[in-house]
Amino acid sequence: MASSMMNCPYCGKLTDPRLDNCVHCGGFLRKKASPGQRRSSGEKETCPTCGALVQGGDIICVACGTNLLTGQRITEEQPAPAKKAAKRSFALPSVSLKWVAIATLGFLIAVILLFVLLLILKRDPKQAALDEYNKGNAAQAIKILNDYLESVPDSVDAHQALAWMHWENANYADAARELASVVRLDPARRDAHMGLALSWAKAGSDEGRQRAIAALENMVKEFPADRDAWFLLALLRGKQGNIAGQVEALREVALGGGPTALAARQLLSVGTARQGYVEAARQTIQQVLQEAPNDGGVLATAGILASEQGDMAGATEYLRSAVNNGTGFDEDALTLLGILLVSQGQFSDARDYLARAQAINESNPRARLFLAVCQREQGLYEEAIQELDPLVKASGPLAAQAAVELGRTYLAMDDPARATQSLTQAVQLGASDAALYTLQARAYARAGEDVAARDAFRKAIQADTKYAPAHLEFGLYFLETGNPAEAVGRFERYLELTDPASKDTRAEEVRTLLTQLKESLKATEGAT
Amino acid sequence: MRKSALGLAVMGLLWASLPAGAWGPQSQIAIVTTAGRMLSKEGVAPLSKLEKEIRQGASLTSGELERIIPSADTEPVRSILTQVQLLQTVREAGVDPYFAFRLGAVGKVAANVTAPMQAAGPVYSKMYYDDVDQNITETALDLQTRVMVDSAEYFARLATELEARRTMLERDYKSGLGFDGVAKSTYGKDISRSINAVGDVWYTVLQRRGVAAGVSQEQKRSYVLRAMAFYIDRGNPGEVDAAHKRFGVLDVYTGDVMKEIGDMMYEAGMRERAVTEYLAVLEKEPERKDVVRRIADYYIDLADEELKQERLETARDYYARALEVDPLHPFAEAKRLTAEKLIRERDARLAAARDAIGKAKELEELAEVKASTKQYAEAITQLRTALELYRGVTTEFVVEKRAAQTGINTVTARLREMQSSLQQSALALSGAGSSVDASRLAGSEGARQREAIYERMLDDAYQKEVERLLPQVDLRIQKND
Repeated sequence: MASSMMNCPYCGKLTDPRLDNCVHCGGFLRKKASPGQRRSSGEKETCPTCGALVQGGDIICVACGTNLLTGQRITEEQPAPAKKAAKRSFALPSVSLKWVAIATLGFLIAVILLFVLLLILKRDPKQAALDEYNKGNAAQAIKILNDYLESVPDSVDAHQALAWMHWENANYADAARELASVVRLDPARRDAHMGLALSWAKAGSDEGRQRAIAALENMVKEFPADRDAWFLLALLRGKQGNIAGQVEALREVALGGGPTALAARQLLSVGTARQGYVEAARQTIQQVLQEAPNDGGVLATAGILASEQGDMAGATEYLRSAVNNGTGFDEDALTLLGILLVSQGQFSDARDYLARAQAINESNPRARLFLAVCQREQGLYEEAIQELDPLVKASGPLAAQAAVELGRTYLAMDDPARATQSLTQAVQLGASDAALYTLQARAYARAGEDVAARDAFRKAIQADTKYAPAHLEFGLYFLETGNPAEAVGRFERYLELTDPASKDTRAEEVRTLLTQLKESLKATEGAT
Repeated sequence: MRKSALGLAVMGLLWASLPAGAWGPQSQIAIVTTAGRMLSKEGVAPLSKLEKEIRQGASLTSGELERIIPSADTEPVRSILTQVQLLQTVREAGVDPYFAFRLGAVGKVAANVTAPMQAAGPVYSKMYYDDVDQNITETALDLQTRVMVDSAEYFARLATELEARRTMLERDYKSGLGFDGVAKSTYGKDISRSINAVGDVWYTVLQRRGVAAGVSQEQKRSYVLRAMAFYIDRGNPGEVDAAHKRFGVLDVYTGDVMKEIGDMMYEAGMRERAVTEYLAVLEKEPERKDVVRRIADYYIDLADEELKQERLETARDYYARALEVDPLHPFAEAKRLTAEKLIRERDARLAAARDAIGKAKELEELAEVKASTKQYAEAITQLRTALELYRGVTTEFVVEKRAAQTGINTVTARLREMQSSLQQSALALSGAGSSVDASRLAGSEGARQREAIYERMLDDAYQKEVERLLPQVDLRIQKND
């Protein structure tokens, strides 16, 4: 009789395959023939897996669970040795008392065993899985849960238990998959939402962060007051370059108190600035500064925003205070401070800060480039070359600019050959602006290559007609080559393009030179 | 009678015109010169030493002669006698050059009076006198002993002889015989007659005491004034002073005379001497306002001249002195104030000039400092300013102008050098634009650095937040579903 029994494909319990429906769960065991079905003639066929008789139109073999259309088994036959054992029949011993006692004892043992087996069979699989997991059999536990979910796919706890196990094992991708089911089946589970977002976030990839953002956006719909969710969402959006979304999310957090709100306001000021609202950003950071006046990060942020507004003096002061207090990103802050000082012509001061930045990270290319600029401006040509050479050789993003600066340094050393070499290298590295062509022209002129010099000057002016140094250098070239009339025109153009207040441009000296040249030309005209 | 065959030397410098009937110029000079030498030889007076002045007097034109000897043309004999009396009187003051001059003048009148063709027609008389002039060196003279010329009788005695001679001479010239007639053999006598007459007149003057009663004070005063004019005209202050002193004995020095002498001196440029004369007048006549004004004018003139020479302080002092002498002088005070104002203005200009030179020198030094640091353009600007300052100093102040000119020379040379250096050093301007490049680079890389920091801040915050949240997530099952 047992051999004629089968497991119900729905509940897994033994049932009679000849019945239309399972006696336990009511699931149908045989499909009735219906018009339009593939095998509607009522002819009998056999299952390709177990050989059991199936009727035309059946999709699932009720005997083994094989999908007759795909050939795959939708359920695994549950081994139930205990049950089988329990249901296994046995013969009575020969009649003798001794043997009766033995039989009685054996019967009792069998009953006990059967009882134990029943207890085992009656136990919850999720708990079983947890027990296994707690015993250290994680694989077995996961298998149990997976098996369980095969039969009960909407089991929220099973999914969550499975997710937890994956989470605990830092298997965030699998955890995320399970948690996605959890939040789908039970959206009220807050930690599942957060876990899902963090799981995707921990994946580290761009896609992972994108999924994390989606998870958090879903979460904040369910938990709109959850500040942690909003803050993490803001950070993720920021990392993905969605500044508007970042700002929007930060506003949800920024109003409250505590360190998260403070950090949110600091980041809000940055985000606002990046959106172009620099003044609003500055006001925000000023408020943050009132709350945390000695916070290096906040001071640095204030400095950065001041520099965005063009307030170089203010920016410099904030950044000095920031690096004195420590920012958490001192290398970057020191580099920026050095660059700001270079822009103000304070090369000595800048040099100190850039050296400090380099001390933190020797391979900081930007700090190295500007350190070299400072050294050159201070006449430390050899030191500048030592800094610039590795940058050029490294072929990084600053290699072309480093080659330009190297060329400029060689020009300052009156070494036109090496200057030309460096500047050619700069062109090969992708540099192509007016400053480069002007330097090339100067190097050619110094080397006496007049045709090349003139061509380079013309290229410089063509590249940027408003690039003042090109006009000055072209004028000096004309003066040197005995063409003062042409020089006058170039000097006039230089003065038109130059800020007269700037001392570095030596505009007043050029103006005096121009006046004298004009007088000289006038006198020459008069004499002829 | 003494005869002499002295050849007469030709006397030069004869240009005076003579009235019709008078000797020709050479004859005239020869007559008075010979007369003078004759008297010197005779020991009457050493007139040969005064020959120059005698000839000067003999050479006067008729107009000039008329002023000295009134009626010399119309009443020559009387005028001779009057002059003899006057000269006898003033001889007290000494026989001096002017005295000789007057002898020459009266000699000229005497010679004319004794010329043979006085009454002849002008044509023949001129022909005769010209002929005598041409032949005067070739004749012998008949010089006689001196006699006093007491009265007109002397000349009257000669009239008959002169008339007879005139008749013969005129006849010869009318007949065309001319000088080859009687004249050739008698012109020596005619010349000798005049020489003797002149000699006699002078002898009378020099040998006899004058009759003072016959000579008026006015005549003496006139003589003295003419004499002083004569000496002043000669321009020898010593001679003037000596004459002035000699004429004191003639007692003609009234205030007016002295003032007139002072005026003559003043006009002749002997102004200091003139002022002395004026002061002498004031001593005699302190109320002479005209003299006071004259002295004040003198100081004003001096001051004006000093003013023209831009010697302002001296001018001011002279104006002040004029004011002291004549407090009521109409221009003295105004001119003194003008001089004061000019001094103040000049002092201000002087201070400005010195200041300009000082500033220019400072600028020169500044320029050198600039040049030493190769800031030639700025140095040239300084030097140009210095040059303008130097050029602003005028020639009014010699010392300052000299200093300024030295400065101009130095600065001009230095400017040339610096302009050359500027052109050379213009190349030092190369690279002046690199600050633009550094600034541009700092601008672009600064922006990138800001972006890097933003990302770094965000990343740090993100990592921190994830690490904070991870342990807070509790996925353990709370209840079975």
